[in-house]
Amino acid sequence: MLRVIDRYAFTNRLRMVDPAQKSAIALTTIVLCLVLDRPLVSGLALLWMVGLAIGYARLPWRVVIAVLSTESMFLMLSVIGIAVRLGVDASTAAVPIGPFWVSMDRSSVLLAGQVFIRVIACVSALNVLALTTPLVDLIDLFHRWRIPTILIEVMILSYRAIFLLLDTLERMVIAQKARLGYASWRSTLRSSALIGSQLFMAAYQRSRMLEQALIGRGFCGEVRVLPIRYHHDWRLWAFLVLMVITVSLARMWG
Amino acid sequence: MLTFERVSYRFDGSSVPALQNVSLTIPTGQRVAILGRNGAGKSTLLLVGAGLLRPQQGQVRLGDRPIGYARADMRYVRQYVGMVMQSPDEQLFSASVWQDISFGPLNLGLRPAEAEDAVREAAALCDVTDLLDRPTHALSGGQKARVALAGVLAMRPQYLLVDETTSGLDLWARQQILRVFDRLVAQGRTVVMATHDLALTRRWADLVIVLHGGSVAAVGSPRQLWNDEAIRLLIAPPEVWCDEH
Repeated sequence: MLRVIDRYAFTNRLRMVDPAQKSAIALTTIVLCLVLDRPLVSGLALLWMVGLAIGYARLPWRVVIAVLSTESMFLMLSVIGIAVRLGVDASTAAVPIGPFWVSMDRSSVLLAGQVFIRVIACVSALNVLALTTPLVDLIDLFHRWRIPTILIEVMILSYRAIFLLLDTLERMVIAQKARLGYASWRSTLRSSALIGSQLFMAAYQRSRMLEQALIGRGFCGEVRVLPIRYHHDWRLWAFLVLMVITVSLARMWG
Repeated sequence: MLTFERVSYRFDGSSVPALQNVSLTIPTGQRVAILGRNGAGKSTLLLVGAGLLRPQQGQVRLGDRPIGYARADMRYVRQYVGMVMQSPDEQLFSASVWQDISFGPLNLGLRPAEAEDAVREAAALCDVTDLLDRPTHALSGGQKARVALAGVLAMRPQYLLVDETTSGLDLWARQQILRVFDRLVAQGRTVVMATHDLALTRRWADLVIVLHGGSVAAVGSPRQLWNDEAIRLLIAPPEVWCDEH
């Protein structure tokens, strides 16, 4: 999933739009959902965000829905705790499970639904940002926001290291499978344990080589790179205004 | 000229020296190949030449000036000597190609506009202009090698030290890299490449340095060395020479 998100972040139609503008849209949507706090508002914001991702950024609908579905599953597990009550006393419409009684009523289910739609609308706004903005652009934005350099450097190197480690991990798993690793429960445990230690060693060696390469290119304590040139898209501002108007109207009516 | 004067280097914890009393001069404007078995000291020689390892004995000179290892000296060294690592993944650190190539020029103290020029020039030289907006982790092996090369060439070094960069590349990617080297040599710069490829060395190199056990075993043109039976056996086993012929 990480690779998929990263690939689309680099290839969508909003790639070269200023990340500040995209962040503004995502943050405004989140604030609207939290402040206006109505299921209709959240539902409408969700539709706007999905529409922006598929209709304007030209992201494949399968990818957008797959990401949302994965997040929904995790969210469902959380809101079940709101909808369902667990007790030791029998009450109306309660189902016994072992020594406990599980029950739910209309208000708790409604509350769970409201929380679900509000959170998924906020998450969809973050999805738009994640699926249209590579981390390199966000790092560039953090530079402009004067986030401490050391944090930004850690982000740059971590981002790169994630993909290097993923590559190393994939190669190690293939090499193990070629020698009957993961063939049984016991060999799966052994293979996984070996990979854990070897991956650490590989990461350490790579970091040493990388340090040497950085010094070879004049590194003297600060990672300095050229900024990327972006443009502002007036249609996105128009989109934001339209969204604010429609969700505000929905709040008045809902 | 890049000169090694009685240079010795031993890695921490190692009982044998990686380089032992190495003295040699690398002239400008040449294609230089370094041959030798694994562990002969090829990579160490390049790292010492680039000022990335400090020899325990001897010194390396750039022209008349000995390489210094203080921060101020390093900027001077980087302007003249650039090194491309064996694996591009060891060198590429930034999320985008554009930013990765710009790292070296900015460290040299160039202004952003000058650094941009250096990035575009190096990208054009290495034929990676169309990759500038791409993430480094999404490149093929050949593309990564060319981007890593561009990252070093953006610093416009007089000496380019290359550690087996062409190994593992397909013939097309390798040829692209060699074309870049030819352009550099045509500009009067020097390319020093550690390699195991005999056919490439014979065809490409003006000067060959043979290392054995951390010492210089021979220096000469491919023609001279290929005619010396003893040297040939230091470079490769007899069966390989049969295939060569």
